[in-house]
Amino acid sequence: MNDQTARVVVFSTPMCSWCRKTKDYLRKHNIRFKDVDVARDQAAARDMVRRTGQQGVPVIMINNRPIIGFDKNKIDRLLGIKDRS
Amino acid sequence: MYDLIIIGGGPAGLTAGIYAARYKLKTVLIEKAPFTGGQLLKTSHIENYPGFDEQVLGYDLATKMENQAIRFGLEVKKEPVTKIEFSNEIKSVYTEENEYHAKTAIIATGSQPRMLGIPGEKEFYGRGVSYCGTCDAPFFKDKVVAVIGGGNTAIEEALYIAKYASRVYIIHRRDELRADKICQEKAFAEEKMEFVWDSIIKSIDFQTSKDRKITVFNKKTNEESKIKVDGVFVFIGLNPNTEIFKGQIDLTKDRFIAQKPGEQMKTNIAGVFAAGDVRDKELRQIVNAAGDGAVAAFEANKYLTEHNI
Repeated sequence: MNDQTARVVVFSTPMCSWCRKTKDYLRKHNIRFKDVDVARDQAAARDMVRRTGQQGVPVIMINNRPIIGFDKNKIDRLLGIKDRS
Repeated sequence: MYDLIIIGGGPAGLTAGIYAARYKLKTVLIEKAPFTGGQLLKTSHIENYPGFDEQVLGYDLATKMENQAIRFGLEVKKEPVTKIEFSNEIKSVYTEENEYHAKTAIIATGSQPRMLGIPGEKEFYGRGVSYCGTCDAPFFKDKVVAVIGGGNTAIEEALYIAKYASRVYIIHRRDELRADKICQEKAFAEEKMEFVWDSIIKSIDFQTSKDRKITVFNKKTNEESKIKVDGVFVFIGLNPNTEIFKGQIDLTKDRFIAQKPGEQMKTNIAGVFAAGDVRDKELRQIVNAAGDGAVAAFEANKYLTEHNI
């Protein structure tokens, strides 16, 4: 995915293992993303709640479409990842 | 054909994998999630795992365990198991895409947080109801939350949540905590904590964002009351992941894998073993899950040697 056009944002907290796993997964597949730490950035936390209704992480935004939790199938589909591990 | 199939990639399964790989058994570990670690991934800091004099993160411990197992040659597959067939001499495990056959099997499917089963719980999951304080606490900065439960997990998570929330109600069905003393002392010293004893939560009403409340029933006084809270964190124990084994493996009434005295890790089927949280036992910790994994791998190896297969 060197020609990545999708805009990817990961809302996360530092202690959330699934957030770290999500970011590991994206890095493994060379997906560029913006990492938003909602524990540090309360405005971003409020923004996430407003946009998604969610008060839990991880939330992954792919082209402004929210994905709740590490939903591998959805992420793979939206980013064209082929992962067989 | 494998010597051993391990189902589940938490501390029990991974430790079984380390031991089996070192016994040079041809072993595959099948994990349903995209990552191994199991409930380790739901824990933040671990303070009671030997060898880590400072805290260790659940995430880091999980990564280390998997790397260690893979270094010894364990094969790891990330596929949910859909069906098993253990009644024949060759044990078969089916996933959506593949099937695996082996001479022995270890069930290490663990457990998952028990749900309350009350009105509002499912509806507001992720929108005020959470099972991971260390993940979601930052959304409750300066807010009031309720923590349900009185065990170690409940109290440790409540202490973490109290770093953010303005007040934390601990709603517990007994009049004392089950958490260990060191944990209790920390909780009682935390000014933000308020204990609601002898009480169970009956419903969660988060319909409107401003007027969020829960209904709580006191078992001693038989009184029902409403408490205004912005979030509910649930830590009331564990449910075993044993659905696929029903009918083949003997389970307890709580659906954990039944154990005969003196025959720990063994199941009702010869050559099939159980390890970790999934089996019937009193203490469910990372350290004894790992211990179970080692014993189960040892038993599987012994079974293979004795039966000369």
